[in-house]
Amino acid sequence: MDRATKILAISFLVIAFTSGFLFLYKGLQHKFIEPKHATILPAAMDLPSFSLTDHNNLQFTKDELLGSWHLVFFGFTHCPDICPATLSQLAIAKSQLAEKGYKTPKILLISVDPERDTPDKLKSYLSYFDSSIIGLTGSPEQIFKLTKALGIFFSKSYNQNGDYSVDHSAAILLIGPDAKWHSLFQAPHKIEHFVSDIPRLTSKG
Amino acid sequence: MTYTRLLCIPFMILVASCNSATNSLVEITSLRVFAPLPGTNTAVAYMTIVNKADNLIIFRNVHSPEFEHAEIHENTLENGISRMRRLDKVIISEGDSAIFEAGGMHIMLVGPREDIVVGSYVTLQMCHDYGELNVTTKILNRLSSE
Repeated sequence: MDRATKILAISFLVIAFTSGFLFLYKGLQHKFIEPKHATILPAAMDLPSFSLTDHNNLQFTKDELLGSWHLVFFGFTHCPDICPATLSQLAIAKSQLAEKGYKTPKILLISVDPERDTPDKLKSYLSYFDSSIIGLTGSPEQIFKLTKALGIFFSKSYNQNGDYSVDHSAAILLIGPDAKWHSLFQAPHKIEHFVSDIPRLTSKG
Repeated sequence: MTYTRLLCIPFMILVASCNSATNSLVEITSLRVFAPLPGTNTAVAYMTIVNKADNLIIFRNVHSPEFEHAEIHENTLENGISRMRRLDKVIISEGDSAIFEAGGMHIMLVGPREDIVVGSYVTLQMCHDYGELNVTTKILNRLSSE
């Protein structure tokens, strides 16, 4: 084997080795890793068509979900405990993921107390946590139609003063860029659960 | 009421007259009060109440001069459903403690009498069967305390 052939053979080997390594590395990077805490639906579920009003008083339909991941929580502004705690956890988790360089899902709060949660009230309330959180409200019928289709429960519970609280599902839904429901986080929620699982879940699609 | 409990009453009233929650038969630790969120009129308080007495203590009421009224609530999670209910009392056995935390028991403070912001002082009067224990603390920012 002459010198030129040797150089050619070595060059070929180096190129083949480098290409193989890069191929494997990229493959491993995109390999889906199972979430530790969230539950993946056996098949992504189509959302029903809906039309609600966002915190800027603009119409928000299913189409607005296309193209981005969304974390959807159902709650209400008069809730003093679990709702603000959950929204704080989501906002902090989002900030921690952003610091680590991950693309973060948008956060949606759908009110289960639409009679009291006006768009203005939602806007003021949500700005405390993260001004990018989207608040949605609508007529009780519109909210009921959407929640029923998703299996989300809510019901008013009156106290002796005639005031009421709202019992509601505490799960957080992860909606994909295809506007389909892919997975969910069951309560009780923890910041570390979101930080650990969101990159795993959103790398899937 | 037992004879032992009757003997405890003067001492407990004396303890309750102090604003400090320490050095008492009932100790309050980890107290956090979060300001009402924008557009709402409800603040929330979390804490741990330790019963250092030799007998069971029942808390029945909470008052705060800074709020129109205060209630003891409990949030429960059953089959994925979050429910909040008012509690009439919290019973703490001798040597035991009651933990008030997000997603569980909490004090709901309704209707601030003045502008309550982060850094304002709030007093809670925790009323039990033998007197009350006053605790004063600064209002915290919920986001920085999670």
